[in-house]
Amino acid sequence: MSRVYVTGVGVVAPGANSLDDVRRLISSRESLLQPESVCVAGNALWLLAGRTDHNNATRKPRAVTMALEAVRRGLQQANLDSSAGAVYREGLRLYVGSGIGPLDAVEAGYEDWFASGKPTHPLTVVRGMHNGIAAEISITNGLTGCTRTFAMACASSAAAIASAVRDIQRRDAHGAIVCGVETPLTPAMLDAWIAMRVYANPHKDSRHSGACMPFDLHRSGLALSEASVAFVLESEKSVAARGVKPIVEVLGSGESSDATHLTNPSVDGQCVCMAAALNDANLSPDDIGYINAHATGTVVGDRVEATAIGRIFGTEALVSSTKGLHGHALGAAGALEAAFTIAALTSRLAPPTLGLREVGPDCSHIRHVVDVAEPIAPSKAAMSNSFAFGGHNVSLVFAAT
Amino acid sequence: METQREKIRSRVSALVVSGFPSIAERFDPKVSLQNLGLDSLDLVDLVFSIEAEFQVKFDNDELLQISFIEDLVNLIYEKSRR
Repeated sequence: MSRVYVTGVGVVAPGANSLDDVRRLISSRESLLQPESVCVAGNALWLLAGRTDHNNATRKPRAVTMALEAVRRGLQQANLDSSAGAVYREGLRLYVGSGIGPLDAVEAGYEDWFASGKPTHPLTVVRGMHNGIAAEISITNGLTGCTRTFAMACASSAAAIASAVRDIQRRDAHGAIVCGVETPLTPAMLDAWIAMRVYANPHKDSRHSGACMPFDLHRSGLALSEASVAFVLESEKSVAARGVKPIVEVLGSGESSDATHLTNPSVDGQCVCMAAALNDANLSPDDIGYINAHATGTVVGDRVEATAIGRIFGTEALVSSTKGLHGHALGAAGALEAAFTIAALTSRLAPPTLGLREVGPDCSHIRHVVDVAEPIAPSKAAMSNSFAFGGHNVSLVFAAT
Repeated sequence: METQREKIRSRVSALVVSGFPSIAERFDPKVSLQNLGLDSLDLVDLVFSIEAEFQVKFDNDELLQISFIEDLVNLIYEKSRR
């Protein structure tokens, strides 16, 4: 088994365009979620959402251009953007995770057709196809090797990372580019989430109402955000051959499926997942100093995850959800929160759960990081959880190098 | 006085430049669309906007005849005379 290292992280996220930005956000006490207006059934509605400052001046879907930029930044940090890197890049495998894909292209392509029966734009298929993101990354960077795409709702990009890690561990690949991306802030998609009654306080008409409050007694739901985060992963042999300095090591991953319900998560399924990750990393629960929880701010999801974490880790590990800071980036959440976990490990600081004021009694049996960042004990590793609709669970374990 | 063909040509050119800003600087109606940098997907994209602008319809066979702006101008001219 080869060891696996992260040598580059490219970030296009709310309030962050680099891993250094993410490190700064670890100590932030102010949410990046902003109130914005959407039109639902003819009525203006205020909700919170996390937008990036990414400016898409092209005709490509937003998910594509955000992903291309995240990959460009990741390759740059891994020192693979030069012509010297081009030869090496050809052998990299590509793993892309996105829950929904290029949604803006799909909505725009059919908008006229649904509204007025006008012809559908002829590029709706190629702009809207889910694998288009991976294809554009491959074409732009000359990646001629194996490509994999992952559509597993909120676990999509975590599953992409886990799969890449396994392939490198088994020496099937010497390196990989993994990219998570989601751009769900489109009118119809926001309306669909509001309709499901899981959006944080969506029916208050004051622009200051509504907050994403993971684990809180008064939590009312999630707030969506857009993001793309890319990683360059390399085997220990590759790291040594190129003489690059790893950012962190990926110790292992765990995956499981609840096989119970589309939206109601399972404590057992999540416990199996976290235990599998510990086993793959060859660690015991005591070795984990920080857990970046999936906790989105929904009533049921947070309770189930707190119960599962408590069952395995008790009150030893520090736990927080960074979704109160940046919102829920759905299929990109696993990648974005892996970046937060890496930033936490490298700065030895666990970020607080923003929005958490009064811990809900059903979430009280774990050790929350509230208000301010807390130091992570030296030599401890960190875990990042992604527990998705559909019952897909992925846990990733990282360690400082 | 501007002829009907010239009017069509300037409107088509405007659609090309607005639809594909990346080629605006080197736009030359005498250069083939391919040499301007438009691929087959770009052509169906362009034809989509031309169909809306001129209220005409192109058959798939007609798309295969299009290499230059002038080919589009001729097709639109003939269709608008019918």
